[in-house]
Amino acid sequence: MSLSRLREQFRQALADPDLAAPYERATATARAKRAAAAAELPDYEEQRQKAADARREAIDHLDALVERFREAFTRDGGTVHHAADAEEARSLVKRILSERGARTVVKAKSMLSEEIALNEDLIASGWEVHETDLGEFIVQIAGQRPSHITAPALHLDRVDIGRIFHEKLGVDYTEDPVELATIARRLLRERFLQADAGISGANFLVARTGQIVLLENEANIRMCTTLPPLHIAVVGVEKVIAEVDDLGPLLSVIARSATGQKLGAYTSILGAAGPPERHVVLVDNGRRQLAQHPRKREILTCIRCGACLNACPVYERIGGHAYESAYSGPIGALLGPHHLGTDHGRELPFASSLCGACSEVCPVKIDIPELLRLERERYVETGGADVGERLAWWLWSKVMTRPRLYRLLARVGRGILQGPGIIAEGSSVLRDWTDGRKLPIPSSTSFIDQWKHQGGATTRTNPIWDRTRAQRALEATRKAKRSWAASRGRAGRGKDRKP
Amino acid sequence: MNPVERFVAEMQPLLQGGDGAHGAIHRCATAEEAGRDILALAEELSMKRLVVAARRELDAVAAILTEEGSKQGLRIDRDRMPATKGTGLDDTFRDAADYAAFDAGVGGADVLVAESATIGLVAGAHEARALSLLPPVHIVVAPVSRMVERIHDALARLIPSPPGEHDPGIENAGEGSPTITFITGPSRTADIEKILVLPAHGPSHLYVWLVDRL
Ligand code: SF4
Repeated sequence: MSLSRLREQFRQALADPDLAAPYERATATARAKRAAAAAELPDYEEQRQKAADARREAIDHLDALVERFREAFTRDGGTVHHAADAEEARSLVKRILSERGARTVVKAKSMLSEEIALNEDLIASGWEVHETDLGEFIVQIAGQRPSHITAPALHLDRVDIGRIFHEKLGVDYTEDPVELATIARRLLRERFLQADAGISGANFLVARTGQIVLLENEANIRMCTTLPPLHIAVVGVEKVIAEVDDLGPLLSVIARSATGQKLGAYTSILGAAGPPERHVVLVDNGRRQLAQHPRKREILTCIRCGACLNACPVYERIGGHAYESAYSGPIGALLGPHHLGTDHGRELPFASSLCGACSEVCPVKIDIPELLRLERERYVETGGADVGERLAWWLWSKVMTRPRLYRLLARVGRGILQGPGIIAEGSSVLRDWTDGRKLPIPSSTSFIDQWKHQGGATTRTNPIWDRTRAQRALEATRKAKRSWAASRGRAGRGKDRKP
Repeated sequence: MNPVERFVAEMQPLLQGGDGAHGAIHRCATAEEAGRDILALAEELSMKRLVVAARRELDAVAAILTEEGSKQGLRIDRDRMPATKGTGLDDTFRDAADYAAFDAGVGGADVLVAESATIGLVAGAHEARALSLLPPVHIVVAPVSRMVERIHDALARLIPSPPGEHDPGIENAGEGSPTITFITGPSRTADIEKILVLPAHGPSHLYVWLVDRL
């Protein structure tokens, strides 16, 4: 198998001259806001570490905490259901709705419901489903897919949205954001009040208290979870956290990372008081298996803030749809191979420059580049690389571990690159590379010769092999494994917190 | 800056929409003062119907609004205490759709968070679920004594461990795990070109009175 399909997606995205503009504008603003919000909080780094610890601890004790949540939620009169995969999750939701005779559903934005394609299934089975988050509403009536995990309609500008409203809702064309929002509010207000059921996701589930935590700015989630007589939260099992105390740090970093706000307009912590019927459908869909992996379990600590998308130079250029996955950007590239179950998903870890901008901003300190590298490793180990690629790397390793051979080939290479028309602008045979970047003409003497010439000391080891990226990456993996192990055995948060 | 000043300073930018102010924050000494200010606001915005939350501490405010309000053609409804404590609201809550017909909901706060200008409500009643959600204007009258520094402090106050032992100051908490709503500014969205629009689905305006003695 090759990367051709993914490459084709990306090629198309890059060829579209209008595609990057809305992304660049939005992500640049989001980056600046996030940085300012993080800088404003004096103990941001401490809160970030606590948030990361809380999420790691939760994944370490996943099964126990899920059970604890179930007990608490049930004690408060709710019902918890378990779904092993997307199909089971969808049929559970349909069963709950059918049993209560619910026909119309208002939906709060939930990436998990995108992951399991819940809307499509409900609509195909005859339910009336209305997305209520403004961005998600726009995307739904346009018949498109979200392009960002926190800003679904990021790819559309106001002219697009004005046209979509005009065509699909039959209203007069307007491109004024206030008017557009008003149209959506009026329409959806009625639906909130008439709906038989509300379906939401969740940002966190608090194991001890059985509370569901939901964050938002619009108030549509408050409406979906309190107005209809039936509320169903469809939630990935990994969203559980041990304690209410964990919310302090998590709430301190999540909105700051997502939008640069200190807190979003509404933070709902749903307890016993609520609609008469409350259900939580806990979805596994590959998560428990991922939780078994000593290193990749870290992926599950993600709190879906979207900061890594905003930071990513690749996401910004190719947009959210090129990932062909519910989750885009760096975190999408990590989740792809685990939740999509398609060949395409396996290729997603290659949609990165491994520059590390994502892990720098991640509020729960996920080492995204390292995890992407692990996914690439798995891709290769499971036969992902074609013969040509394997041969190339085999040759590379032979050359790189033989200093004499390396020097000989380097000399030949330098000679070729210095040749007429190889690098020179315009006529370059390496045009694909030199069109976008400057490639300097190599010097005629190697660094090692120059070094010797100037009387520098030499060793017999090849300096290039000495500290290659591969070796550093290996060390980083070991270090991370140690710190993961250390964080599990952390004192202080000690025994009383164990479920 | 003390926590109350911080709260006021943090609240200001939250009330700014692209099209002007979406509320205001005031400090005053007594419930009576707050009541009179609300009457003036109602007159200015030509409000016809207000609903006041079922909190005993709002009795004084409700009394002034009812007495004086009738002179300016203002009708005041007092929210009912929930029929059943704790668990879900009964069927009458379906009438909560009516809340959208009020010009404003007047409620309180169980905690105030200085660092983010956040108002915390513990809900067993209609207050968090309808009064602060459906009318276009949300008015909060709360004692400054409920001010805490950070969201961490607010959580510790509202969700005690072990559960069930609520701060005696919190009315309507009900049984079981509390349902809590933290409100930080009016409803907003930036889903169209990242341009800030107030409101999205919830209240468009938020007016807060921090009262020295309530
Ligand atoms: S990986 Fe980190 S930065 Fe990206 S969405 Fe998840 S929590 Fe946010």
